[in-house]
Amino acid sequence: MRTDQPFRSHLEAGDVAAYLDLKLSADDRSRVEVHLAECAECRRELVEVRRVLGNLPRFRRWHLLVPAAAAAAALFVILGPPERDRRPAPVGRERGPRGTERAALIAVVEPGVGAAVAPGPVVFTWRGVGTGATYRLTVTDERGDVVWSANTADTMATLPARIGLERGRRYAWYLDALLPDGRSVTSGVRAFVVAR
Amino acid sequence: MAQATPLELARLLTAGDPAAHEAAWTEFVRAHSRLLLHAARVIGRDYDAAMDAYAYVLEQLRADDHRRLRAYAADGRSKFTTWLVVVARRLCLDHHRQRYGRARDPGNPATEARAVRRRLADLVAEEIDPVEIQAPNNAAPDAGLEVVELSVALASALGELAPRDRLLLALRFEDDHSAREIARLMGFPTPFHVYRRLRTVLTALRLALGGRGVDGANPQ
Repeated sequence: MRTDQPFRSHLEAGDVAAYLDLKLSADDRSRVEVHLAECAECRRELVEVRRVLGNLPRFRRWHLLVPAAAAAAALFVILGPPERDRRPAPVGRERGPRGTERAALIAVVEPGVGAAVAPGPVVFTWRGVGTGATYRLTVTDERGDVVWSANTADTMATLPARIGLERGRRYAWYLDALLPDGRSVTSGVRAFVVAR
Repeated sequence: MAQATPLELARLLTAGDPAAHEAAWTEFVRAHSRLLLHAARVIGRDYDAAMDAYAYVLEQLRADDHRRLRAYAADGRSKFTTWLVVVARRLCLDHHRQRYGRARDPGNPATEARAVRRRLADLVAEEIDPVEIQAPNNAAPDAGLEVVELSVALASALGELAPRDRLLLALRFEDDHSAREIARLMGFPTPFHVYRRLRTVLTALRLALGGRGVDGANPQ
């Protein structure tokens, strides 16, 4: 039993997960239910975990791109969809299983994939994903270390002059949007190079 | 029977050289970032808080040669995604508490008293008007004692129920969850099965309370 309060123990993560997946033996299930009946905190955990799992959109794995948010999670990934899916998707939509569409990708305008940008402040533009959306723009170097990030409600952002990008070097940028209803969408990672 | 370890997890935990490990970590994060982000958003209400929590979760999953992830490999009873959400949520809570302290109210007597009166109104007679159930601080001098007696009778009757039925009542009457949500949590086939079981349990409770001299919200 996990303990985070004096004289009070909680369920182990494995017990909670196995209970939700209906994978406990009868004895273990009874033990867990005895605890849950008395522990509001563990019940709350049960409910919240079930809700997260129930609300998770289903996507093919190759559509999952990673918005790294800190040095500990620095990543530099470029993914491209299979050739047959390189048709441009409608703005703010992506193709899911069997041709279904889901709102999951932000359509970027510039700089596009592999673009060479002129030295100086870089202007990032993209298409909006809906009223009330807020965006977080992140620029990283080749190693995935964050060079600059900013929050905006606009669909454009300019790299400040104080952020000097090196000529000839490759950088990446991506967007994450938070919609008023709590859903999130991302742009995927786009690489660009600063011209010499 | 143990669940199969996901390929990206197996690769991560067995990667040899640093380059292979980094590649495996990248693949692992790519496979599960959306799930981790959703879990972070449950705790962190705004974008920055959620992203901070997400970064913290990744940091902790990576720490000590993936000690936490190795715990799944050792357990393996549930699906990995279910287990991961549980762990991620706990890490997000830890992160939130470190930054903002413990926010949740552990409970207070007035809340508990209201819960008891609501339980009694539901359990003993469906037509009882909750207004008739007097709050202890507004009523006659003996009212407080009567509520205590009712609480004792109720606790005794509840103690005789099976754990699963006690959990059902807690989810329904203490936490106010819908039958649909309870069905998903406890593995009932449909909400109808939840209602049917509730009716059975409440009938049993009425009989048990009747045996203790409790026939209504106001004891004789």
